[in-house]
Order: sequence, then C-alpha cells, then structure tokens
Amino acid sequence: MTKMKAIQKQLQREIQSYTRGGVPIPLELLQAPRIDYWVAEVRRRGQEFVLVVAGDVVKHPDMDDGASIQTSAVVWWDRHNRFFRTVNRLYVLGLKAGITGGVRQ
Amino acid sequence: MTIRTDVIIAVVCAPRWDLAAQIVWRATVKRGAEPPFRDDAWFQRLVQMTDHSKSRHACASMAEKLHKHDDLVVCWSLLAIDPQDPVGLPDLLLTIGTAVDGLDFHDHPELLPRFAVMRDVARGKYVGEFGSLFHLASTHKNRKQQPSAASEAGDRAMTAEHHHALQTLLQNRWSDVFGMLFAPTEAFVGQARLQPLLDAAGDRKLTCEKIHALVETLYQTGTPATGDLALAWLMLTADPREPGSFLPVMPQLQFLLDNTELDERAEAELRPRIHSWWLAMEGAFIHSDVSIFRLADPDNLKTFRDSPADVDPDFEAVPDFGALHRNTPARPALPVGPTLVVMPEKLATRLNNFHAAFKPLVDKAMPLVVARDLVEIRNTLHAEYPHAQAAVDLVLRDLREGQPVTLKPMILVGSPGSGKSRLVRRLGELLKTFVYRFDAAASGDNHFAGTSKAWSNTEPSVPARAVAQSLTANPIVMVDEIDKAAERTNTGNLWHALTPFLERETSSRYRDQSLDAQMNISMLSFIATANDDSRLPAPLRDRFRVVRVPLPTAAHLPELAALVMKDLTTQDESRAYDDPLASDELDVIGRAWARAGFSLRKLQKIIQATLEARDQHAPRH
Repeated sequence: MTKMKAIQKQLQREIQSYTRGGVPIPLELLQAPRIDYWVAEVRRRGQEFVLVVAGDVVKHPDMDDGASIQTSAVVWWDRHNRFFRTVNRLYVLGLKAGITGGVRQ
Repeated sequence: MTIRTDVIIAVVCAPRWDLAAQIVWRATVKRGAEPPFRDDAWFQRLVQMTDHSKSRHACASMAEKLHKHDDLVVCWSLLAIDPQDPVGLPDLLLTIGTAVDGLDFHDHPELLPRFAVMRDVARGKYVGEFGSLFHLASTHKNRKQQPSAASEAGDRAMTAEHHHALQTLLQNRWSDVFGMLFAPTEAFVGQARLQPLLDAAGDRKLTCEKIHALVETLYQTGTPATGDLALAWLMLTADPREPGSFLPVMPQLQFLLDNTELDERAEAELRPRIHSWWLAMEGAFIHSDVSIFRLADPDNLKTFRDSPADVDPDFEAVPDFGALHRNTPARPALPVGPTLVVMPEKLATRLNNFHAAFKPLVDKAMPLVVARDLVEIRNTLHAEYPHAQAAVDLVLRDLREGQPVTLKPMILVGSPGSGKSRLVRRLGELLKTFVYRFDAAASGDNHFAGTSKAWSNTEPSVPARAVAQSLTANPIVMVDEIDKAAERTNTGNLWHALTPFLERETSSRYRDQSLDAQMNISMLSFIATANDDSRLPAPLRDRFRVVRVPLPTAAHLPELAALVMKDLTTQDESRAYDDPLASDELDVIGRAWARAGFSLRKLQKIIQATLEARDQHAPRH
C-alpha cells in the first residue's frame, strides 16, 4: 500500500515537473526503456479512453530486448515526440513505425 | 571510453564553488600533474580572486591543459561555468550523465537533485540570480528533490475554475478560447510576445506555428501556471483532420482531469467533452470542417434551429480558421454553421410524387452560406471591373464578413456587353453561393411563382427550386434580362409574380402553391439584369435597388484586354504560352473596340481575332 502510494506520489511529482516545463534529465532518459517502431493508439477502457503505445522495446526492466509490447495508459506525451510517461514508467521514443524500414504497418 | 566518476560526483555534490575547487585541486595534485599545476600558491590565488571572470578563465585554461584526465577536464570545466551565461554546460551535463549512468545513487542522495538544478541552469532558468553554479544547486536542490508542502497544497487546491486547460475544454468556439487565454498569457510573457500571434490571424498554419513558439516560451518560464496555459494553447493546435495533433494534448489533459477535484456539475460538463476529444483523436471527425471546440459542444446541432420567421440577425461565424480559407463546398455534411429551416413540417401538406426533390427540405435545417474574405472578393471584382467599381461596391454593400450571404433585391442596369450577367456569376463563384439563373426573355406568364398543386404537371416556384437544387437556404436567384419579359397579363406576368418575393415581410412566409407549404425564403437574394429599366412597372422598380453598370472606356482597355487574355488561356490550353498583347496590337484593338461601342463581348471577339491573325502570320519551322 505504501509502495503504491510512493509510486503515485512520484508520478504526481514528475507530471508537475513536466508541467513546469521540465524534461527528464539525460541520465533518466538514458536509463529509460526505448520503444521502436511505435504506434500510438487510442483504446477504450469502459467509459473512458486511454492512449497506449505499441512497439518493440529495449532496456525494459521486465522484458527481453526486442519484445513487442503495449504500454499502460500514457499520462504525459512530450510535444517534441522525445519521450512519454505512462502510469508506471518513463519511455523514450525511438523510430516511429512506418517511417524507416517499415517493419510494422 | 569510461570516465572515473568519484571526483565528478564529489564535485557535483560540493555545496560551494571554493569547496568544489578544492576537491578538484587535490585530485589534480594527486594524479601527479605537471609541476606548474602543482603550485599551491597558484591555487591560493585562484580561490582568493575577487574577479570571478578571471577565476573562471583560469579554470578553463586548466581544463585545456589537463587533456589526459577526462574526469578532471570535466570538473575544471564545470568550475569555469558562468551561470549567467551557461555556454557549454549542456554538453558537460551530458558527459556527466553518461559517466554516472548505472550507478547506485543511494550513496549520493544529493546527486540527482543537484544535477536537475544544473540542468535548469543550462536552460537559463536562473539567469539573474546571484551565486555560482554550486551555490544555486545548494539553494534549489530541495525544490527539485521534493516539492515543498506549500506548493503541493497549492497544486491540490487548484480546482477546475483555476485550470486554463479545463476551462478551455468547456469552450464552444476556437476564437473564444483564443480570447480567453490572451489576457492571462500577456501577464506572463508581455504584449510584444503575443503580437506575432495576432499578426498571423487568418492563416491557420502560421497561427499554429506561432502558438507552438509561444508554448515553448511558456514552458521555459517554468511555473505550474504557465505550464497550464501552455497546455491550453496546445489544445488550440489540435485539428480533428490531423488526429496526430492531439498526441501532446490528450494524455496530460486526461491526467489533469482525473487528478483535479471536481464537483458533480463540472464532471458532468467536462467528461462528455473530453470524450469527443478522444473520438477526434481516434479519427472520427477526420473530414470535419469545424474546430474540435465546435464538435465537442453538446448542442452543436440544435444551436441554430430557430423558428423560420425570426431569423437571428446576429449570426455567428463558423469559428474554424481552416474552413475560411479552403474552398468549402456549399453542402457541408453537418449543418454546423448557421442554418435555417426553410420548410417547416407543421406548415406543409403532404408532398406528392412530383415533389420528391423537395422531401429532403421538410423540417431540415438548411445551411446558410456565410460571406468570407469580403475584402479579397471586393479587390478581385474591382480588378475584373475597372470600369464599374462603384457598381461593385454597391452590390457588395449588404454583405457582412462572417454573416450569411443575403442581398437586398437589386437590378443591374447597363448596355449590352457591360458584363452584368457575368458580374452576378462571378459574385456567386466568389461567395461560394449557388446562382439560379432564370431567363426572363423566355417567360411569357407567371410561371416564376410555380403552378398550382391541382395540375398534374405541377411545378414549384423558382425560389423553391433554387433552394432544393443548392441545398442551402440562401442561394442567389438571377432574373436575366428582366426587361425582356412579356408585358401581356392574361396568363399572369413575371413582373407581378416576382413582387411577393421581394419584400422580406412576405418572403419569410411565402406559401408555395405547388408544394402547398409555407416557406421562409427571406434569405434568398434576387438580382435582376436589364438593359433598360424604364419599361418596368413602378411598383416593381421601387422594390429593387437600381445599380447602373457603365460601359468601359478606352482607358480601361489594357486591364480588360489582359483579363480577356487570361480567360482565353484558361479556355484554350494551346493559348497558354501566347505572348501578351503588344502596344501596337492594343492600339488596333482599341480602335476596333471603340467602333463596336465598348462592349466586353465585342472586346473578347476582337482579341480572339487578333490572336488568330497572329497565329496565321507566325513564322513556321
């Protein structure tokens, strides 16, 4: 419970920092998992909508490199398409799907 | 290549500049650097220097000389940073970030917050604040580490009324949002910063660019309030036709909505609207011609369904920037602009089989074509009618920018070939309004008003047909050559049949005898043309505004000839590369045209003949 609360608090703090114009420090960006060939998709969760990102991940703590994943709900999207923050963690955006290589439709 | 991190971490965590310098100095001596740099006296002089620019310079030259030890180079360079002008700091921080990647930070709890402050310094956030880089890091690290209790409470206390982004979500018009955000933004960035935005008005793409630039400025200011404003401005760049433009808006907007304490009423208003925003991001309104604010308005379909008799004179403009500048078809899929029910069901009887074309009109809110870019239209027509600019101004006099196109009945009087009919056609094209042409010369009776429903071949009146054909509530009905209509009255007469349409009072409650339905045709424009208005009966002439279209004179020849050439090239592609008319050619044309009585039709024929003669005498290879 306290761990959940701490995660929630950390999330709030980061969003507040982004709202103040902050971006993750280079170190955080270096350590964050990166998603390549990504597609942003709108999904319905009951009455609500969420944005998720699907793609191939590297450096994810719970996934093998290159695994195809779909993230949890995005709560902050960087306006320059550099990174995004989901409920659980920060991701770095790599190659967008369909732009280079065309691995994924 | 890896860099030693122990010294770097110690330096970054040093609370003051002199302490940081001491750490680096000791490490430098320990590494056995060359003798000139082991001189303790040199270091004592360095820390006692009162001129900081000199001490920074000394550190920078030290960094240059120590190129063998990468970590020391980084540290000396860090000492040489001026927080007021942090050149090179971003690169240094990147190097440090890479170097300490993967370390366990529990041993150095201060590293990350200090690093974050330094990053802010690199972005120029603390310009104007007193102290060295290390001093600033000590002062501000606590704020980075954990927002103070006061600011957290402040964030929580922000309710929907205080969030510009949530307020933006509640607006129904793009322009309302623009107006709403302007004043609070001005307070942060100043009027000069907003001027480019005002200058860009009317150009959607340019406006978006300027908004993006403004958003960057707001985020650089770095307070929660400016960040909130920045999100609200970003919402203005969301375009339903480009779902991708919603990406940097929706996640943060939804998070904001979910994490703001809202009362029930606010919830009930905000949730359905953000629902529409998500749908737009899914691509549901990809063909929409209106802004997302219009689309999210819960009553956008009912807004203009007024009773037919009292049309709101103060129509609102369609708010979307883009629609203004694209060639919007006269038949939008959704009647989201101003509309008018031309044929209310309760005042109509059942339509018979001859009236199939009118069934879609029953009780339907017909869109009203709105006047756009009137200045441009006026300039275009002035260029095309250099001889009749006063007439053009008189024709355009009733039109108001952003309001439905409706003109008082008018009659264009002028000699044959002065361009009357073409003027009406061009007006319709430029206003994107349907023009229904009725040839009065072929009218020998009162057929204009339709024939009775009792006849088997019953036909509705011309205005009703114009509405049905255009599917708009305000087409233009052009009665060409009205003075040529038959004068006999035993089967009715066009002039008499026209009369009821020309008074707003009667035309808003006109009962079509064929459809047997009451119609509101008060928004239709009636424009007649005539060579001579003296034959018209006085009651009819009184109802028209008489606009005299003069014939051109020889002085207008160069302009008109150029226009005719342009027309000819659009009609005939092989003429596209013809040389412009030479002055001797113009001279000959001018004389021929004067003999022909300065008619525009004649001018076209003369120029065509000139070009053909030119072709015949052209050298062949």
